[in-house]
Amino acid sequence: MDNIDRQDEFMQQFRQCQRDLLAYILAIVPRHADAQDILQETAAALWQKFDQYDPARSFAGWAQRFAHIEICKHRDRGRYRRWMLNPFDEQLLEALAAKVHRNVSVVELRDEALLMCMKQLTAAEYDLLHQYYWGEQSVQELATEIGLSERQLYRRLHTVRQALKRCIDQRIAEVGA
Amino acid sequence: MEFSLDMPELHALLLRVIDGQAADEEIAGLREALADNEQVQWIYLEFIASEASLAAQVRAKRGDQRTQAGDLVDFEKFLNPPVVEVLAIPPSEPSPRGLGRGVVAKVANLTARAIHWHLHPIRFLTVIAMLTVTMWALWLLIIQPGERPLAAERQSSSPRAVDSHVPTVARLIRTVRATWEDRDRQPFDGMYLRRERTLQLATGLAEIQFHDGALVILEGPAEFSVTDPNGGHLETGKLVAHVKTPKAHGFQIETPNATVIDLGTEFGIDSDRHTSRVRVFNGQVNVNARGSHEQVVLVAGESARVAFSDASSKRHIVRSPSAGNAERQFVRNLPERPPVGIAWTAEPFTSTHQIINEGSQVVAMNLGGPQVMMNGVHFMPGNFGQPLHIPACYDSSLHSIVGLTAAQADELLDHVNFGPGVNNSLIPQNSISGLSGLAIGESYVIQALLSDQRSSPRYYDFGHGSSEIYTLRKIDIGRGPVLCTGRFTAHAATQAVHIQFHLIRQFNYTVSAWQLRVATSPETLEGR
Repeated sequence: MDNIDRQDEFMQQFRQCQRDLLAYILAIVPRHADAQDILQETAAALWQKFDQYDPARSFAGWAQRFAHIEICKHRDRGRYRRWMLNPFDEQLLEALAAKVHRNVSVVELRDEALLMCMKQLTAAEYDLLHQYYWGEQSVQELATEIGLSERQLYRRLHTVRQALKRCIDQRIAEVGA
Repeated sequence: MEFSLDMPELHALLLRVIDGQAADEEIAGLREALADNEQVQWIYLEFIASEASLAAQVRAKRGDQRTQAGDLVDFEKFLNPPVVEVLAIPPSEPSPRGLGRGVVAKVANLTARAIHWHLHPIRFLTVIAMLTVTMWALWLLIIQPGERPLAAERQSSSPRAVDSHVPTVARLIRTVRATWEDRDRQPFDGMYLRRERTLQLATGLAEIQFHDGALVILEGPAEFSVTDPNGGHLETGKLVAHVKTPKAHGFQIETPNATVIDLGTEFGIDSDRHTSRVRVFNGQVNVNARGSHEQVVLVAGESARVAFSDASSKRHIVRSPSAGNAERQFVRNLPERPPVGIAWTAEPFTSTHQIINEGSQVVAMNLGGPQVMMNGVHFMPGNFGQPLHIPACYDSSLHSIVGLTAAQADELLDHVNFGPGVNNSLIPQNSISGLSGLAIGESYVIQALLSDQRSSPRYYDFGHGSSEIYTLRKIDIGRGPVLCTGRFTAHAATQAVHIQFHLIRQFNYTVSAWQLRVATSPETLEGR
């Protein structure tokens, strides 16, 4: 099953860089719903052109160029009007990339801390995050469902994430100490 | 704008930005700061990285069936997009005794066709997947006995043996207000009729297509048997036969009194045990009296009566050329019934959600009704979108709406978010079967709404595909379920639409609603 093998290979490659891609997209288009759409479209485009991928080169780098294209398309469709960072400012992007790569160990550290900290969330808090990040409802619909105003919902999200951040910072400080 | 580097404040701002809650001037301020303040860049990047991590972690922990833990995209969306395919049983159905071989042959055939159709590599389904899907679909089509819900059949997983080795010779295409007096199985639209099958139509009309091409309209009350692929026996009642294809010439109807052999034509017979009347509308037929050598050839406009005459023990044929008004009327065609349907179930065709096939509308759905548990399927009401007022009759016992017009059905599909059926069975419900009342040669548009168990398909464009019998023109995904639109031309054997998935990867999409309507113009399905 040649095609299945190809798909598996593709998924494996993509999984290795998906989080970096999401971060890259988020940096330019800092809105979760938009970034996830762009990531999905990027993945689809990558698969379409997977035949042209040269295994000698970095998949992540190749993928990032596709993400870049999808980000541009996304703006053309008028969904996110202005980028936070200019994706054509190569100098800036390179500087950012360098910073990210230099801090791989920090990222890992943070991830570990995040996992630990997430265990302290209540089920309701966890559900809220899940629905917010990956649910199919809009924030407005989510708020209605929970019985909050939109503003209240954001405040609650805010509180949860602030708490997570504090927890993570604290853990990293402990490890670093 | 003054930009604050106070950490908690900056973090709060970043959260507002990423949630889409920040004011324009706040965004502009951040953008400016990002352009030249390295420290802000750092903080921003770190924040983004942690948001990406959080999103990934939250996702990973909830890894559902289709998504491997941690996947940030839905691979199935583009690796194996659904494809609308119209499947049909060829007229000469293999007998179940030879089913094994028949299925294999047919699978190979369908696979070859499908491969031919889906040239684009993305839509190119693998042979294994095709085999799995096609087998399943064929099984559905062949086994479906009509009067039992499919789901029940499948769950009992014991496809009933039908009277095995007798070949089918004709098919009951459709009926209008038909009631039956059949002792064994109730006939149903689309049913294949085995040799010597007798239909006892109490009232209404039935259209029967013989495998060799003749089409018979039976008018109840009538007792009619299909005896071979090109002939039948009318014990009592009325029928009109249309014999248009060369292969069907010689089509023969027996009555207790006469044998009527077609010579390329349209004719009507009205028969009881004592007398048979034959009337020719087009072409000519040969009429033989039973038990005698008497025969006549009738041409268009002519009629004849075959009966015992008072004086003899033999039957005689009496021509009645000007029978015109005196003769009882024949129904020469079934009234047109625009087949428009919308069905919405977690698992289609379960008993209470059976398609109600009455008049011009077919509707079965759960519109915001209570949760329903059927055949082990936990069915959530589908109306998760804005409530939509539809002036139709809501039947709370069926959780269904009856009497939608096509326009209302359209509106419903456009405005209501169909929710997921929480389907506890492992078999994806991706076939729409029981398409009855299709006009042969007519072009139809079918739309299917598919929801998965998670129901959060994101925007994706599947592109186009085409084949000789259907054209997939558009698939839309917004927030909510997948909408597939396909177009096909109905053949005599068309009875199901199958939406093909890739079963290997547990693609648990399920048909939660569908709508069928006559295609009005080619432009109705513009690709995106």
